[in-house]
Amino acid sequence: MTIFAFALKRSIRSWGNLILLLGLPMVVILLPRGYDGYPLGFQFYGILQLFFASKLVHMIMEDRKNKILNRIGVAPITHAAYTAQNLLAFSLLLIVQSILIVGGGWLYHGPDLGNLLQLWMIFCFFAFTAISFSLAWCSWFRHPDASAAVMLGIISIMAVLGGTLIPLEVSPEPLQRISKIVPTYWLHYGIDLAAENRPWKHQLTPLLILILFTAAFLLIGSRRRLA
Amino acid sequence: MHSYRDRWEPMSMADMIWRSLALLLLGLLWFIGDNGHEGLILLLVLVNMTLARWRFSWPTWTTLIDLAVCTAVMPLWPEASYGLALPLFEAMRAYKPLFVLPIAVVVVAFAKVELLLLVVLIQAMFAGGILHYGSKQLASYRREADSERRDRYELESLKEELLLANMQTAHFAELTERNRISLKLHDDVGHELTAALLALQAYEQLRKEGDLQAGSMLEQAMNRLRASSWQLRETVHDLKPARAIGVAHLEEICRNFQAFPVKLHVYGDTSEVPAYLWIILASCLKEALTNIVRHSKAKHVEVSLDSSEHLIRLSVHNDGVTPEITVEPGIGLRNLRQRAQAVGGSISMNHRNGFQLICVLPIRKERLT
Repeated sequence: MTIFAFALKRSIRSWGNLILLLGLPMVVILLPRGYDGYPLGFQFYGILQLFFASKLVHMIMEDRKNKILNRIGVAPITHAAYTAQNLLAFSLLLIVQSILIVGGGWLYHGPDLGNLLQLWMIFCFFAFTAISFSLAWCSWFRHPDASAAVMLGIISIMAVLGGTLIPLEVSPEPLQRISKIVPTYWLHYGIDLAAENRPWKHQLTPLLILILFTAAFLLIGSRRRLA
Repeated sequence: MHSYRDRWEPMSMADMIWRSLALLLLGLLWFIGDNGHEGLILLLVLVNMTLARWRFSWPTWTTLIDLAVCTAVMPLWPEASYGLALPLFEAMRAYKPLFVLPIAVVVVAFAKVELLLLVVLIQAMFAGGILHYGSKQLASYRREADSERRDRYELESLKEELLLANMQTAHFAELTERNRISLKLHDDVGHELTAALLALQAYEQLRKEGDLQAGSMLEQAMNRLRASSWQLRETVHDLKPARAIGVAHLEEICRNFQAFPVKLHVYGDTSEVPAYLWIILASCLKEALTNIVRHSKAKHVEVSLDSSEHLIRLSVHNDGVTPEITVEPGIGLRNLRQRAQAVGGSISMNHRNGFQLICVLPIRKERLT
């Protein structure tokens, strides 16, 4: 069994993960519309992606804690391959979840969601960013519990700064400026563009920025830490 | 292909501090400026390039990527010209002045040349150059230190080997001498004694039988015993070395010292002290006595030798004054100190109430096989 297949099976083995993977899309789809007429669930989905990505990436931390990485170190597989296959498995799960969300949303809300392909694309790219962000975050901690506890706070701050919980229009101008360095801002930016059915060339900016965030987080997070 | 840098070295830390500060200032410029998308994309590209350089050893030509992105963003966000400081720093950090040329061309052709921009670029160039020179110097010092450490280890190893060879030589000399003694006793004294015993047994038998030859047999036995006694004396005489060794050698040195009387006190059992330590102790005593004659106006000199199970300590004390020696030990003492250190011992001096030289040497118990 490859590490990819193992990571996939391990991720869906627990009931908690299964509920997060399949149950949450139902809640996200069924949430009512917000003040701007767009379904609220799709605006909060980014935060759920961050939580789910954090839960998945903590499995790598558990491997570190349980000294499984030491065994990987002496096995005929590189650390890069181990990390890449784990991350690909997590990404696949989040991509499938995005498909379910966007497909279900189209069935429930109809054409009000805007350009569905653009919406799915921005969710997919944000999933990559969320996973790499969790990886980078975990690389600074030794214990999964400590990392998870602080991660909740960080996700909340990102939600506030990115405009998920509070509309950016009511925030002070300096905060509005700072919000641009938070990936959640670009998720909402992309969702807005998709909702408005804007041409693809406009959607390229948030997608490119999310890719750059992903690359930066991956470079920080993929450091080998066995201790 | 890549070198992973998890170990924080002074120069790589300085690199990261400079790069982080440069990115922070560029970010600040973007924050207080137009806060546009292009500026953020440029910042993120430069952040990614910096992180990649931190993680991997990238070739210098990759600075052209930074340069290209800065040049592309410059028409949309003029402050992007400050981002050129990063590739300029990297080019000078790798000491590839050729890569400075395209940056200079871009600055002249596309950037709005300001004094602040020029200051920033010159500072980046100098910082890169200084860090390059610093890391080169550091590498050179490290090589030198490594070489010195290697030499020191080799010397230590050589010293150990010499010591072992010394001990082996002493051991083999002991074995050879034992062998010679056993041969001498067996071949000469042993044979004579056996012959005398046989003659005595024959005499006893003849005496019982009342034979007249008993007298001559007794005479023969007496002759044999006389010869073996003489040979035993000769053997012992031959065995005794012409030159005194051990404590006797020290006593001889003290006795033969004519300048003033020297008192020698010996405490403990010195029979376990190996021969190679006696040589050092004798040299130490000679050097101390010579120094006393040359430098002090001593009236009394006392030498004491203390031997315990693991240590032997030689102390030479005089009541004279020795101003020259107190300044710095001479060549003789330095050599003695090295010899003592070579066997794991030490030589120390005490200037209180005259002058005292103390030599302490460990007695190694391990047996050579």
